[in-house]
Amino acid sequence: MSPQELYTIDVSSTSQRGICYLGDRESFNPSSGLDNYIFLSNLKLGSSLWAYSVPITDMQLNQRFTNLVREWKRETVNISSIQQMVLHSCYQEIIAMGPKAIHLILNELKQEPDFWFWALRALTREDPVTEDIRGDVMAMREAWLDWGRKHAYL
Amino acid sequence: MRIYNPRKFFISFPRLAKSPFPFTVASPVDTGYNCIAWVVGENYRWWWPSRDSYWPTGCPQEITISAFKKAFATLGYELCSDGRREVGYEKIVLYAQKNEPTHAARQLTSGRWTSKLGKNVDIEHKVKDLEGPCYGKVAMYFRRPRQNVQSSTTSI
Repeated sequence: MSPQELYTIDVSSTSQRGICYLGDRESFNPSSGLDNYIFLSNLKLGSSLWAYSVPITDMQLNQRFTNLVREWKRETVNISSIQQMVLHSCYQEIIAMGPKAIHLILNELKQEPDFWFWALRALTREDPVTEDIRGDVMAMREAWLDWGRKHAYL
Repeated sequence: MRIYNPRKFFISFPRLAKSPFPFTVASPVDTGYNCIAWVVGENYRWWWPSRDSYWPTGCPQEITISAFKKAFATLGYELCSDGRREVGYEKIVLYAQKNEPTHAARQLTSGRWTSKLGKNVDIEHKVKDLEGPCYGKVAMYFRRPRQNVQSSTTSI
């Protein structure tokens, strides 16, 4: 998936807009502390990713998360490949939300088991899942929910 | 039992909508297991070459036909020429898109096939009816002598 195709966003709801270049796809780290950004897609700018730097309310973030989750689940429901699931643009946009997405993902995981483990590892740089339970989605879910409780996300 | 997102379902599997042999939904939506787990007789974990799923020890963690052949071989499956029902054998079929495995189905004693469609329902169908934009085409068939041991699943 090319950087230009990676993210799609709807900026119609934002009241302030400013384009800020935040780096190449390879060098930019979504969890670097910049938590109010949205990536643009389909800009023919070669290999670079440009980003809006806009203030986002928690309510907007929550709604955006909910919409992305819904679309991701719809689009990937028939797929077995975990790689295809996590590379889906909606999943990547959720990761791009940065640390603010951690508690949203954990709450979503609490409501319904699903393959949020890749996103959680990317955002937290941790992995509470042990080798013996890999593939057991319920057990992996419990490991992350337990992690979430210990770190006060839940 | 309802199919999750029927609109996407029939876009992904257009032949199911047009098939003269109606498919049947056998089990509900379940994120706990996938097609590969289902064909090997499990319904409690996700099988896939990935960090977030189970894959047999010693099999390459790659989405290649070769890796899937080795995975099935750990359970006694070997390549065979077609999906015709053979007395004394269990058969599975592997689907692939651009040479990458996407899905597997298991043959029932009736000659029809059973598939768990990702996180979605599991269905009984004709083997070609799942060919399409989501899973690609039938890539190869495997068989092993029919097992007498009970599989670790609730409904085979």
